[in-house]
Amino acid sequence: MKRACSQLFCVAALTVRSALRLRLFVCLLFLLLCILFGVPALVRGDGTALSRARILLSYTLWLSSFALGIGVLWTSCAAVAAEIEGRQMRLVAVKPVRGWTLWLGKWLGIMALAAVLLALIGVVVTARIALLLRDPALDEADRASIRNEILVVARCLEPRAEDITAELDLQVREIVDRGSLPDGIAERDIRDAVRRQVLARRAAVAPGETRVWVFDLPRGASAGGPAFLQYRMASSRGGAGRVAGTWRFGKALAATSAGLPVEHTGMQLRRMHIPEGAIGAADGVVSAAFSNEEAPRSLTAVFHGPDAIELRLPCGAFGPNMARALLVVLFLLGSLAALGLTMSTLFSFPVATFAAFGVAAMIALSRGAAADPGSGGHAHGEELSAASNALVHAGETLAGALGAAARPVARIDPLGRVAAGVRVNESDVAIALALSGLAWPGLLGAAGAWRLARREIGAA
Amino acid sequence: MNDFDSQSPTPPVVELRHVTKVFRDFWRRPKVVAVSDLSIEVRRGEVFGLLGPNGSGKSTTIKTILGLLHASAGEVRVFGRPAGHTGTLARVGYLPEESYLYRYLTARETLDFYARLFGLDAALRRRRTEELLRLVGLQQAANRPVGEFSKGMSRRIGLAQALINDPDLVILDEPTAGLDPVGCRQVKDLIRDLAAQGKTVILSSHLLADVEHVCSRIAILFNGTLRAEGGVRELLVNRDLVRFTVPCADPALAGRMAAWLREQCGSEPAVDNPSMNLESFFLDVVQRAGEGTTGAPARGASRP
Amino acid sequence: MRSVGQLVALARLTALEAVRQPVVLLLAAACVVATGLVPMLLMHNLGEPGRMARDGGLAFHLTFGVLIAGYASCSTLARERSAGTAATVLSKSVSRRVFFLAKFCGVTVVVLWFSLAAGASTLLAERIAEKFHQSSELVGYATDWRTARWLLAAPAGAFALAGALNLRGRPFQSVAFLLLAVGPLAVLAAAGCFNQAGAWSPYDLRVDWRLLPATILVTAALPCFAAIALALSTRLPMAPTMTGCVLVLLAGLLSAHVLGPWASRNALFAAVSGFVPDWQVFWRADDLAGGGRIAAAELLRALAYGAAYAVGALCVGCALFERTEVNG
Repeated sequence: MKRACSQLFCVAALTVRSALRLRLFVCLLFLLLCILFGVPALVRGDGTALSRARILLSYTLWLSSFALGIGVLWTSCAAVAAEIEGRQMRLVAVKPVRGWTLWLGKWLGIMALAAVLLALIGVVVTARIALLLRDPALDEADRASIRNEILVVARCLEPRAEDITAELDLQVREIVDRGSLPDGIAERDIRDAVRRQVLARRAAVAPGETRVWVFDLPRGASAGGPAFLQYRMASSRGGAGRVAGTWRFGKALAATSAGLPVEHTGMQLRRMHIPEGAIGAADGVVSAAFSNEEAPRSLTAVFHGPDAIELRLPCGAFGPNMARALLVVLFLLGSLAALGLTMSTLFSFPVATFAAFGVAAMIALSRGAAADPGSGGHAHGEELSAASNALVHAGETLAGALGAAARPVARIDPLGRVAAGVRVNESDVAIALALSGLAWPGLLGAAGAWRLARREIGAA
Repeated sequence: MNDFDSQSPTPPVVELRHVTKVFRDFWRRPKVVAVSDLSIEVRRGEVFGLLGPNGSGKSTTIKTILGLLHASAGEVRVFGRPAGHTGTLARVGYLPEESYLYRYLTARETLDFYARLFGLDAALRRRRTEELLRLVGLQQAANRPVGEFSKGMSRRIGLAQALINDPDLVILDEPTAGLDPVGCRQVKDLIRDLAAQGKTVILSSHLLADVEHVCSRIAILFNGTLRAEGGVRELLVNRDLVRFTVPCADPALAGRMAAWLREQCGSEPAVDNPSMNLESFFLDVVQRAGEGTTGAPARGASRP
Repeated sequence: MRSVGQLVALARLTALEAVRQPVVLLLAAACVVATGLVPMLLMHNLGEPGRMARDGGLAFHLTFGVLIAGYASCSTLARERSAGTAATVLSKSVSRRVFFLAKFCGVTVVVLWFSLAAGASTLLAERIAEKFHQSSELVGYATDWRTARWLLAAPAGAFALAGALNLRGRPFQSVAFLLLAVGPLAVLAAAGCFNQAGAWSPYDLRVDWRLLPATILVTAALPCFAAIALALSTRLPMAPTMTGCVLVLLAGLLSAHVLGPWASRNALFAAVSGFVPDWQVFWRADDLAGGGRIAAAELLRALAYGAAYAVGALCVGCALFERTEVNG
């Protein structure tokens, strides 16, 4: 065991040393610094301090992490394959080193490099936002907006799902009883279409109507600051119309409770601070109600999309949230490194690179397929021949399987959450660690080590 | 040179039984038969030479013994275990035909890296590293990256890494290739020392003089098949001739002895002065130059 | 005259070396397959029938072409320098200039051959895409499934034929790479024998020939990129060269947006803007929107820009290579 640990450390150290001395690390560092300092200089948004801070947290952080991901994948593809081609592996393979030790040592070395570079990305982005706050050209309002809108971390609560089963059953029964459906349509498909219709109808609040959303507070949840409601509302005329109404919060939604009047045109993401006292009710429930004004002053309001409305409870600080997000990214990089390493035990360096990037691209593209399995199918499905149909079906199945495997971690979206000020929970980090940091690398590592132990190193 | 008893009861260190290695193309069709039905045994303390022209299968045989290549047929056992077993590799040292080293590591780091792979503790690693750097004459270049080394220096550091674990079986593929005569002699002396310590050495070379000087037993391969095998003395001795070497500088006495031998044997005996071989002569010149001896360059007439 | 012979021999060797790399074959095959799949799998059409297939095909052509040109250029010179084969060649009576230019010619031949495959696939993909047809034999929306099947079968056929020839001892990768362009070209020629609904008809090849100039421009970008990559690899090992290529590509894509507004006001920015390759010059796919065409003058201007830039990069590369130390 002691010898295995020593070998692991030794192989990891060699990997780090090779990256440093072969200038790979320097190249990657240079590329990241170009992105970290170049992107905010190139993309200026609307020029406001808030916009600059947003760009740092969205484009810059995402692009630099993406570049690091490419670098990690590329380095891992070279790690074993280049040594086999350069024949250095012959001298290593005749030492008492097992395949898994070599694979794991390489992986640890690459992860150490990735951790350093990722930490650098986090430090630079955080430092640049801190420096932006100290910019003497900013006034206090700019600083306050950055503090309140960027440097916030909130827990997101979705409204309680409404029970639409009764309405759904009724409508489906009516349609089936009417008997006007073409042959060959399954009841499941009808139900699906009706469900979408019912939900779309419920997303609309007509003039004179009131819609209530109920949020269940998690046990022991307490707001670390002023809670707010974030919503996306459009008028029934899209961007052109005007919607006016009143928001009421808390347990008592009577007309006598203090209302917050709003007036919107166009579809934007909006925030509404919730009065103190509305949160923290003993029964752990918060209600929000929107009353649309009578026509003709107001049009029908449509709460658009699946994330149309959410309650945000500020909790925690920006720094630790950023650290948790970067940890999730690090674990994702762990999967990428494992993929590249295993490919490099199977193929030569360029082919391993092609295959690893191909698989990574397929997983990235198939996330959409897995996210909405109900929308599967093909635009021209009915016109396809049997062979083409089989091809499309195979592609969709593969994309679905890859997407489903990636979904538990992909749905965490750590960088998107940091940019949107949403808390990355410890449970998310644990899921990312378990799946992306351990399970997938473990499976890929087992395959890579198995292959490495059986490959004819001397034939290269 | 060790005396070798081919009937020794000790178990073989390396055992190849009917080994065949066929390289195949994508369609699994035989492309090259590198080794064909090869059976060899190498026992403890032997210096075993694998001889043959280029492409005769020497390196393939060695790689098969090390587990770098898998035999297509037959069985390879090292220390009684299948080739490539991790436990046996801990007792093996290997110098490949070219020194495939990490170019960015220094000589000292290279030795330390391979020592770590054998799980040697820090103190032992340091001691072995310094010993071997001294042995191969690279103390002065210990902190230079291996990528900057000449071919000879690369061979030396390659040899050092092969010995870092104090192996029981040392496999050397063309160990003197690229070395200067001093290096060649040092390697040959080293091989003799290893054998004297009871270690087993397998040596592949096509330089016959190297093999003749150090090997106790040899196998000659041609086109992947074994053509001859046995002790060097057994194979090379000519039992029809007898040579006397007498410390006698008097030409008259030599003439009388020759006449007596002619009379006794009925044929003309060969009489001459034994000469030093070029390697010994070169080493002598270099050694004296290294000791700072000045004087005219050695010429044929003034040979020491 | 002897220099020309040397140049041809070295260029041939470079091209052969490049196409025998499995990854070049994989990239080229991936480009053809991806281009063919776009009109089959994507239901969006970017507001114009066939536009998705057209833009997708050109984008794949550029992306995979840049990868092939970059990889072949970076590997050929860097590998020859480190392996010592460059030293062997340069120890003969071969000038460094000829050696360097031959590398460029070899890579250019490879990317041009690849462009034949990619260009033919793009023309076919545009034809495959679902469109509204109104002719004597076809009225209504139709997807050209017959061409789609044949286009997707072309790489498979190329691989199968190369495999069969490999059984007889021919190298697989290079033969497959050659056949990869032959397949789509043959499908393109055969597509004239049937209409978009798949019905056999008298020979009438109906493809959007407006795509040809756009394809030629994308093709012209590739030798330009190869020249830059080769110039970088005269002094840098492979990894830094690749990084440099990525930076040049990104800088070229962003230069018009970033430096453009400043270039008219500041001489320094104007100089930097002129120095950075403007890849937008080679991307004229948007001109085809709404039935538009790429004007001949535009085409010639872009080709002249590409030629001038490639010559400039080659001159810099030659000058750098003259002083490069080559290990034996």
